[in-house]
Amino acid sequence: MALWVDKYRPKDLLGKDGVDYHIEQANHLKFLSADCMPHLLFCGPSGAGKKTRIKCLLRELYGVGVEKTQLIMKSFTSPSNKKLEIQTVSSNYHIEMTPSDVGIYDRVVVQDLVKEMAQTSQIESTSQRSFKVVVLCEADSLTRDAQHGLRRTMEKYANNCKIVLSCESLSRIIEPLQSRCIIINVPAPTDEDVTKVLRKVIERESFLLPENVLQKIVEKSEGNLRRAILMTEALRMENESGVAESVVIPVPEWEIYIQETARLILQKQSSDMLLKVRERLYELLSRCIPPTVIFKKLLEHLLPKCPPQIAREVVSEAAKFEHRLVLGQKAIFHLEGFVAAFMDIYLTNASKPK
Amino acid sequence: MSTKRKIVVSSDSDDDMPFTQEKQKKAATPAKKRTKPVVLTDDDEEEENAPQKKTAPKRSRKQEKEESDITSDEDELVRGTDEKKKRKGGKKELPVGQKTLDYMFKPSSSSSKRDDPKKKVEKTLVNPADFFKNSPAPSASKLPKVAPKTVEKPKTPAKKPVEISPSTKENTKTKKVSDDEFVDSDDSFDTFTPITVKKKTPEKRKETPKKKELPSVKKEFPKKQSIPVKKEKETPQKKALSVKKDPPKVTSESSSSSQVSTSSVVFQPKPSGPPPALSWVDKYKPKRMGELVGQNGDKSPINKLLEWIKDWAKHNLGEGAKIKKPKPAPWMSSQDGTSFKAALLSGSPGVGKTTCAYMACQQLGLQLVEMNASDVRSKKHLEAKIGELSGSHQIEQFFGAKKCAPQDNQKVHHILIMDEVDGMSGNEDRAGISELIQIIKESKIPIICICNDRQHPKIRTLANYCYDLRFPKPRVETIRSRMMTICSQEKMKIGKEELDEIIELSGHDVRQTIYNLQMRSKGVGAKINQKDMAVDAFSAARRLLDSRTTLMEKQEMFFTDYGIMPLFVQDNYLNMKNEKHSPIQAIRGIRKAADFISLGDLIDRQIRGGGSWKLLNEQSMISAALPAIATGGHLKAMIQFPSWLGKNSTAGKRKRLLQQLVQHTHLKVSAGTHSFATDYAPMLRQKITKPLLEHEADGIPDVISTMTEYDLIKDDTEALTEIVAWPGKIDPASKILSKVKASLTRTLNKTGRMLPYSMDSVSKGKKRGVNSIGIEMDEEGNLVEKFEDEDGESDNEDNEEKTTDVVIKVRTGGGAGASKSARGGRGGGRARGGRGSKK
Repeated sequence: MALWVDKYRPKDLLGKDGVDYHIEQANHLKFLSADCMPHLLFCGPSGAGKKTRIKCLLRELYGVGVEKTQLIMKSFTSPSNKKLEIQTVSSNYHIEMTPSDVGIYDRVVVQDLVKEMAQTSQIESTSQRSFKVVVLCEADSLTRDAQHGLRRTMEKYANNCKIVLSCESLSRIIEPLQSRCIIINVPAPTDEDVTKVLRKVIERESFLLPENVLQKIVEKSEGNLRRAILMTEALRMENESGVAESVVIPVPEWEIYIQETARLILQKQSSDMLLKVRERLYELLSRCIPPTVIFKKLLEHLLPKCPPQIAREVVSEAAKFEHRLVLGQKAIFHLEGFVAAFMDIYLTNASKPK
Repeated sequence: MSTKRKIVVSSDSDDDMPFTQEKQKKAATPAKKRTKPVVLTDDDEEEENAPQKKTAPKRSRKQEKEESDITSDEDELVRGTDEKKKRKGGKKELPVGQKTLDYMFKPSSSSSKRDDPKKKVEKTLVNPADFFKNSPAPSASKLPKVAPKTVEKPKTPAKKPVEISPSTKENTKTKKVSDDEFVDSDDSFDTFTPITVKKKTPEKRKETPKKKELPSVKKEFPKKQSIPVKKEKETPQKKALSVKKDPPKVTSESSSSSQVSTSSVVFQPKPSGPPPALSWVDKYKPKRMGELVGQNGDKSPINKLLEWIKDWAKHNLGEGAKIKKPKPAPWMSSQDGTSFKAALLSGSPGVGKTTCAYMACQQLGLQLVEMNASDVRSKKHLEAKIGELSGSHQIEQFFGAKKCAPQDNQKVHHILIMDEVDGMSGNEDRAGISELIQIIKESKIPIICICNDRQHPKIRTLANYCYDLRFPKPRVETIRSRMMTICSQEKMKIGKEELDEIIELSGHDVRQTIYNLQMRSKGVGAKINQKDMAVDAFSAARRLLDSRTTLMEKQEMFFTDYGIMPLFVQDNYLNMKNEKHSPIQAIRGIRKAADFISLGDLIDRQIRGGGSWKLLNEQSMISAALPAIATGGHLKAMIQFPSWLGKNSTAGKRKRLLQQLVQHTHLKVSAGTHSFATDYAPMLRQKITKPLLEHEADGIPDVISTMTEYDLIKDDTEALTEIVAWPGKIDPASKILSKVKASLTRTLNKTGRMLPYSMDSVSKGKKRGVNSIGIEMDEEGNLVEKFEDEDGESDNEDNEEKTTDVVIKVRTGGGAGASKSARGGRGGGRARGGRGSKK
């Protein structure tokens, strides 16, 4: 059986099964789905519904046939004669893939795939769209070379092939690409939007949820609708009979782990403790928790416990090391640097006479 | 008159030398000038070859030389008598003074006539030094003549004819006496020319014998090439010899004793002059067993070598050779050498391997043949040169040449030394090692191989056939005692600590230590360069994190391996502690170090991603040197291998598993890799494990339903467990009963076959075909009921089923195999993906 988050996913831009928020934007997308559709760049935080809107747009363009998709493993050969394999989701009208899966060779994949799609044109242009769509997920993970490689390709094959990019952070997309696309900003839903969606879901599932518990879930999800629905379903699984008002909202294991790490950092500031913290950071990184998420959660759990006068300095250090994290390539170096800096600031402040 | 008679006697002894020289001139027809230095060179060669009488071919050559000398002497004697007759006739015809000059000109050719006046001038200029240096014996007789000439020159020239008159008087008295006097005057002229000629052409004459001997034997080239060096070294010996020769003359003549003493005074300052460079290493080369460094004890390499050579004949010649001896185990090859015909001396440079080999041969009185890196040692050359030597054929030749009674063939008389065998490579020495191995197998004499790198692939092949003698580096105390002996002989003062430091900086290399000592003796302020040694990453990391090393040394250590050094620093800097630090000081140092390490990662990214390799110097400072200094502590724990490498590998594996999960669920899940890891993975795993824990076997249908919906296979569920499990937390999956797991597996296998049936439930017409199977009908019946329930729950599924109906209708009309086409049609890509993954 499907999880609620997939079962109740919108399938249309408008109407009964349409998206639940950003209705005005959905109207704009419907207008864009004409023959003069440009390249699109969807940006917004995780859980805001970027991919859902891309799927609804494709359905609007090509009808129900676009949902008949299959997984195809495509092979490419890099200039250094290394074979690359990437999985794509394809239908007769579009292809979707995540180029960052192949690491630093994403330029080869992006260019070859777009050219392959674009070098043929539709035969019956009267009864069908005259273009195909290439969806590139996680576009902010593309390397600079891959992004530069897309510049000429997007212009040259604009008639046959429309490129839809999906990313979380617009600052990592180079300016030439941004100027060739229409940017569709999908902000996170508001608390009212999340509440409305959750109410609809629990109503269909006949799940009796107290109002205060519902509000707790909305707060903890922080605008991530995927997380909100998953947390609601987790709560249902743990409390089959009924949910009491004093129930504790389940928290993911990785967040508990980060919370304990923060507690260790506040407990003692020494090189031995830093060694223990390093081991825990390694565990988080090896389980594919994004380093930026670790930074954010660590800071969230450290700030409430430290004195207000050093909060500004702590946030400044976190920003500095997170910036280096993006510029560098070994996440543990920068996470450890931040922890060491926090320990120094905290211990120095604690040793000051009041 | 008595004094005159004595002079005459001494002149008689001198006559022999010039006569031989004259004869040799005539014997050598190409040029008279060149024949004279040949005499000296021959004498030198004889002296030099004497200590090297170790090989048969040399002896045969010496005999040939002696024979040629005898023949040349006979010819010269005959010609000498002719010359005397001509001189007598000449004197009668011309005036007294002019007669002598004319006789000199006539026998020489026209070209020589022109050169004569020049020679005279040169002779006069060079006379005193040449006399003293080259021929001390004739100088005694010449001195009285030279002295009166110098005294008389300032006087009036009229006295010169007076000097001539006494010679004429002597002529009138007796013919014999007059002959001697004339010979004296001739000798004075003759002796001048050989001195000048020798100086001009010594090198040329030396080269000619080398060229002649080139085709005959190439082995002796290196030794002859070294001859000029030896001559230079032996010049002080000659001076000593010349000093020794003077005493007997002093006893014979009281008048000449004063002159001889003056010459000795002149000799003395020259030996005290500055000795040639690099003399200490050769000057203090060990000449006795006791002088070898680090070779004490019964089990020292040289004692093993001596025992091996002593017993070599017993095991490899005569009866001993017939007995087959098993090869010892590899670890015993350095203990028992009875089964080996060759020995391999290996060790680092400067520990005395070659010296030990020579000392062993000298100790046992054996003759040795050496081939080293300067010889061509390819397969062909080794076959031609050493093949005969290592066989008994050479011994027979040796016996035949000497015409002596044959010696005992059960003993060893020769040894072959192959020095620097690890240099037998390249075009010149192609296939030399394999040929050397063949020679060792068939050899009748011991063979000693010497190398530095025993782990070289070629040497390892050779080591299987050799008695393995490894020369360890001597200890500081052992080298110190020998160095102290050398310093005391050279009257050089040096402290014990300073000497130990020199030995350490030289890497326990005895040769380099002596060089450094000699360099230091010339200037106390001279710096001793440390010997370059290969440093591995661990040693470099330890030196890098040592608080006593300087900033420059830390940077040097970084470049040992600039890829892994930043990881070493990052892993070990937290173990650098200082007891004097307060907690605040410690954490401040750690913060600075961590900041540098973090900044170094950006530089590393620029270097490898952007190709800015010129930033390596900056990286060495920021990634390695400055963090080590910032902590201000000492590394007390063991150096840890960088754990980043292992952690990165684990993260890579889990990332691949995660990507596979995302790919399998991609048709249903719209999350990326990170969102799947943080949000979906825990929920999916709980969805799969909780029904099994709570309902056990009854929960299996729910699990299968979830797996089917998301197209998961069994491997995917295991990947989910690995990604979601955290240290310190109990894995819920471990609580599932094993029989429940087995039941789940069996049900999963069945479910693969039941997929089409679930589609048949939609198409009522095909139910009848399946009714024949009762068991599946029952299970199917249950599933059918569930599907109907699901239909009632949601409208979305109704839509999905409608779409599948449409697909089925279209494809069934397409052709035969309705069930197969139905499989392909159901659910579109989802079914295909699921089935493909299962297979």
